Amino acid sequence: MSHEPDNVNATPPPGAMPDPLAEALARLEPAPARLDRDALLYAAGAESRRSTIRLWQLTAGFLAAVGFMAGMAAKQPPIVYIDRDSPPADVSPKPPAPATNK
Amino acid sequence: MGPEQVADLVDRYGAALTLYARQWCACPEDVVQTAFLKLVRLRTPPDNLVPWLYRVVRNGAIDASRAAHRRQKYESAAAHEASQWFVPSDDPTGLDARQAAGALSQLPTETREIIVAHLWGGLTFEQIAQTMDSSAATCYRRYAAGLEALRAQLGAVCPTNPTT
Repeated sequence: MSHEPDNVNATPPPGAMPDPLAEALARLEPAPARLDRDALLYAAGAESRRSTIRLWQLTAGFLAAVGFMAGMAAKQPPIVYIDRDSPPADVSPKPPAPATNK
Repeated sequence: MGPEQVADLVDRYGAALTLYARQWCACPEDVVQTAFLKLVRLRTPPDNLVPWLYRVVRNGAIDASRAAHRRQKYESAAAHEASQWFVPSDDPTGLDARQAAGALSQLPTETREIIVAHLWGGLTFEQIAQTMDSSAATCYRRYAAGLEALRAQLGAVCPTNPTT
């Protein structure tokens, strides 16, 4: 004799008589989960704030980039020093000016 | 989804989800915790929250089991820890928790996960079918066959053929 139910192609109708074995099994309470509830909630809180933190990070990075670009744009042109070949200073005594008779 | 809602979900479904994950892996708490964190990361909660949780836990537990196999550290954790599946019952007329867990551990994994999801997770066969990428009829067929196998092992009375 087969233990297969008569109608195996459909789920039981809502008014079907519950199986006593299933009821007895369902009365067994699952062992409590050894979840670290505090750690889980802490991590959940951090995860829920992650998008906000990321937004602030992006905003700060954008503002830093804008500031850098503005600083580069406003920067004065560099001072260029050019060495010129200047003639040596004339240190020879000047000849006396000719005397004029008025 | 805020931490308060997550706390409520943990309190309501944590134990059943852990029992469900225990069918595959030896670290069910880690899998369940990861599933809850994945839920928090979602911008909008899924429509079918509980079946979604079961699906994520199932995938995570299977992945964890595969990883354990790769590391060669598995030791048939499901059967090994069967005695820890349920709280020992004080009801003398009820089933013995250890005996029931032992009988459950003897079932094929596909059958056992359906029974666990239906009896302790409260999922309908349609929801279980979505979780397993199967059909509701197949899930019910496996559920019924699993109950019959448990009935034979536990010596319980068949409701459709009452003794006279």
